Amino acid sequence: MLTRVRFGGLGGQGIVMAGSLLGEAATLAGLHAAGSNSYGAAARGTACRSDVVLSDVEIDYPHVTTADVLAVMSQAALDKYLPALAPGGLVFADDFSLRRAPEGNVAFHAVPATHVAVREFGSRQGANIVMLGVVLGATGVLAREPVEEAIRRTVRPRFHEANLRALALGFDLGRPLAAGGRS
Amino acid sequence: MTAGRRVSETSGTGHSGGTARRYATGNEAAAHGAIAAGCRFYAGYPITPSSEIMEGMAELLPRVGGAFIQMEDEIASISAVIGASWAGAKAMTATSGPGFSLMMEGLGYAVFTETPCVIIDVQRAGPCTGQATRVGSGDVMQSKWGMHGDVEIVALSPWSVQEMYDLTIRAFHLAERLRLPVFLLADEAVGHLHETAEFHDRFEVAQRVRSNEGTPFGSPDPAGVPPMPCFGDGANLLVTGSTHDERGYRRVEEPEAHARLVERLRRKVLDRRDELTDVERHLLDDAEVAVVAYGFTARGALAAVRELRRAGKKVGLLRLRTLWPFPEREIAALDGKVRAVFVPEMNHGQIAGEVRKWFRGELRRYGQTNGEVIAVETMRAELERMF
Repeated sequence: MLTRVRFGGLGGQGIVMAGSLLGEAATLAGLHAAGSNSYGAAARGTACRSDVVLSDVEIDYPHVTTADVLAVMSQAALDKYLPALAPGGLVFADDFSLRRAPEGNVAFHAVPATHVAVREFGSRQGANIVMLGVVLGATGVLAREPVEEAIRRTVRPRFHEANLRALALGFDLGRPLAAGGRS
Repeated sequence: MTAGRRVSETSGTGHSGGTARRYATGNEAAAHGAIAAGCRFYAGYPITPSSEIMEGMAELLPRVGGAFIQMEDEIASISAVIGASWAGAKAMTATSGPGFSLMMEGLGYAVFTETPCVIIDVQRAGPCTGQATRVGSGDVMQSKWGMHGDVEIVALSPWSVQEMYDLTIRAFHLAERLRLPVFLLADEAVGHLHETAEFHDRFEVAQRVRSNEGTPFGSPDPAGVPPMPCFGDGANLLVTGSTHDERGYRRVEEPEAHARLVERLRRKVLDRRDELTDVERHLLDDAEVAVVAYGFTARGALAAVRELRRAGKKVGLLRLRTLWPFPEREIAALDGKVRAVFVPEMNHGQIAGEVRKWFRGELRRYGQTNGEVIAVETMRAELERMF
């Protein structure tokens, strides 16, 4: 089993955090994980990505050049990273900033991550964790429990509840998508 | 949520012995490795892409009773490290190219005064300030020849987060055993890579022979490592960067004294070449073409090798985990065994030139200095042209 996941979006959306939690959780679950983030003189509002490779054996090459799962939170990230989607790969895009869905035969799902975060928490913050939940629910790449544990370990206690709830909401959004197709 | 993440809680807790499985960056792993190896002094000046090592040491050292100092620059940093070592502490610093350049004078002093210390250079795209956040491995020759005069040092090259931990420990082991500065030549890609790694306690790390007996700068063995007294232990101690005799007295006009000292410092390293050399062989047994690679580049090289193997091409990888002293015997052993060698590097042939000295067959090199790692497909395409 080897799964390559790419989160893409804008600086400030918590893209790196989503990737870090997934890597941390995979490690807690006994898997091997490798992650790399866009790194540069970037700031809020500029493009950023977070890649994670998950495997049950040691990982030879730790960077993601083609992704099995692409989860994006901006139109620019969708446009930029779609060419790197592996054949048969899955795409999840936050519909808040989505202007055009990809053409062609792509397993594409628009998901209301930001809408859910705004509705539940009154803030766009949390949309990244909703999106992470969607990925877990739809792909089964990792169980929910180790991600919950990763949240408890890395997030300040006063934010635990909100993050765990965001994850659960995303998970429930993602589960019906597990069958495949477009939505 | 983006707010309120405590970056260091899971990946940066204090080292308490035992084994911990972590998802950490290479730079975090290096800090943990240093603490595990017994490092109790760090002086440094932050510089991208090495700063997380300094942050890690600032957090971890106070928990184990160590000392951390942010200095005014890298010249002061290496000087403080040398001083701490002479006070008996296992000491280190970390930097990147521009800081490494500033440290050269102090490093020469450390070699000549036989001062154990560890320097981690997380290489970025040079020359000069270059691209601070981008990767390179252009400091390979600098680590060997950046100091004036003839010096021999040890430089190790990690390719994973696990090796950032393991080789930092090995760097301390060798520094203490041989009384010399040991370099960990990492690169940005490995330093900032997150990976599952084990922070374990299955290692041996040498302790210098700390003694007021004997001669601190001379040995009857022409490749010997003398015992090292420390300031505060009661010996009358003279430490100088000028040529000195076995007791440390300046001998700046005696040809024999200079020749003897320079020769012993060289042989201290070169006579132990076999012990110091550390290479890893992948799929070389029946290979017609060998890739010689190191650092992060070797990860991609292995991926390219595996892809070509699936296509029936007989290609293997010799991965260099020690860069200095150069693994010349291991390269020479490829001569006559493989038809050709391919050397991909994030510089323009710094190791390929060394390979050329020991391998007489076809040599193809690929140098890339655009601040990006060399893509697997680039290496695969280069290799395909060799069949």
